[in-house]
Amino acid sequence: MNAWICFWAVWLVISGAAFAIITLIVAVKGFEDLRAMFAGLSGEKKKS
Amino acid sequence: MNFAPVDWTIVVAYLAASLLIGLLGRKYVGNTTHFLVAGRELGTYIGIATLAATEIGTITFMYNSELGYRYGFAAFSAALISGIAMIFVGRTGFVIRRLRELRLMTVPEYFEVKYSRGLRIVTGFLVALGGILNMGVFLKVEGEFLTVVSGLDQKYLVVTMIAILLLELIYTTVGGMISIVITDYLQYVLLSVATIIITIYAVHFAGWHAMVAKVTTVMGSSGFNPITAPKFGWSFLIWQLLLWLSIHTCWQTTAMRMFSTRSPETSKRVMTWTGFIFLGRGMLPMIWGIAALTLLGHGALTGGVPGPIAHGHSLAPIDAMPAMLAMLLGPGIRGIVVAGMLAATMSVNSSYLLGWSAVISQDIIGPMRKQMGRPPLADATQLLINRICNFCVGLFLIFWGLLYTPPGAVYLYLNITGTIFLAGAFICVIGGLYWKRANITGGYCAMVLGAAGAIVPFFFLHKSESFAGFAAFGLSAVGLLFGSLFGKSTKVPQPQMAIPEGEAR
Repeated sequence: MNAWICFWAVWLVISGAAFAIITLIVAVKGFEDLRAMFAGLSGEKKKS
Repeated sequence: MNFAPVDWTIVVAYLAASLLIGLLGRKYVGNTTHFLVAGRELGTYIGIATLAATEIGTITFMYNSELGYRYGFAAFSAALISGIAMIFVGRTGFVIRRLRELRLMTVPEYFEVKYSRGLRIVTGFLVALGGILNMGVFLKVEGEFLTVVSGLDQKYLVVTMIAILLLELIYTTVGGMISIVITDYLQYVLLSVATIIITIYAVHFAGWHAMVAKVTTVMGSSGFNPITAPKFGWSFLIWQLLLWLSIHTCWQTTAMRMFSTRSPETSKRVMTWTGFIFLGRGMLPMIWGIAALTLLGHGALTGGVPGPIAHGHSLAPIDAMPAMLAMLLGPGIRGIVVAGMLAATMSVNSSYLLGWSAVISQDIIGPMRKQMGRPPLADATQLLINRICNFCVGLFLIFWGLLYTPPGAVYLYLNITGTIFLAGAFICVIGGLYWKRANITGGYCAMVLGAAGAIVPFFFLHKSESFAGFAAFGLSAVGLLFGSLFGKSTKVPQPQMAIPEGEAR
């Protein structure tokens, strides 16, 4: 049972850390993507 | 009432900001491709935000925390499988790369490309039916969360449900996928902050050693070992693997994000990184459930687990987590957490509304008109039909949410309703992409047997979810294999596989 407790503890730490780090990166870089998406959509709308 | 004025201020400010930002999307909608797949303009990071926000809702937190409460650490196995399956799909491009190359807008659209228009309509019907029934329990569970945490009277549950839905409907109907992507970004950031805050509070107040001790006392080694846990075992784990592979490749709302990316390579990157978020999406709420069991699990035994007791009242296991939050969080923090949960709710529901209504308009109404020899609809009319479908699905959800209460754990109910169409759709898509002999007869057999394999054992023979899941995937595979080998050797038409940008098939 101790092996299972360690196994789940490790995965819990990995999942929590990955969740927090990816959130931080996405919060910053996602905004740039959003602006690029608006630029692309505006360009397409003007063409049509 | 648990809410202080500062909490209400935070929640109302979030709702107003979300609605205004969502309405921004309207000015970018020029055609159906903009409305349904955001002009296929999604980059990697915004793709991750919108995919994660779509698949993380209050409903996700509720059912995962219920799993943690009922089955302890063994429940983590379901989260681990979902994350690893997603990372595998992302790294290999299994199914998603080829579907993205075809420039589809919905999953059933593939069935016309590979099989026939008739099978597309049948699949569209099953996908919409299973998807809407699946979503049917969301509002009620989410309404319960909000009323328990805020301390609102239960009589306001219906009003809360309708208010949530109306807000989502307004911006989804007006701006489609573009509005959803913009709001998803905001909602993803907010829901992630709330997730991290709750995890810190839950682990801090319950304590790691106390949680391990409680699970050991209540469940013994079955609370840690998913192979010996009564509800789990090998059959559950294999079914979960098949189910999550099919969800990550064929679930309409996930697939729509893949179809919305700039390129097949972007879709693979989005899927891989979101896989890591999926580990937390499952495990973090499960640990909240275990914390709730530790802090509130003092009631009478139900299914071998003590029921939660809060302020002297017995609760259902699914309500243990919100009751714990109401107890632990102070003013201000509670408002941020509830705003985060509302964000999660709105991002999921708006995407699901768009996803299922897109299937009705694109895969049932459109192809049926073609079948009847009617000319294709103008773009403006298609947009209008999409918006009407959005509205009608929303109305149905309110009534279904009021009438129906799922038996047992909500997670398992959602899994089995999803399996109704996912088993057949997954097998048909894999057969179509990777097996040259797959044909129309095999496709029909796979869809029908897959649906029957989930419905008959679970709803009529009262077999376990794992058994029904296995039966659905197994029968579907047998159907495609034998139907294709021994059925009428129908020549499969191969229409133009990739369509020009901006056009609907």
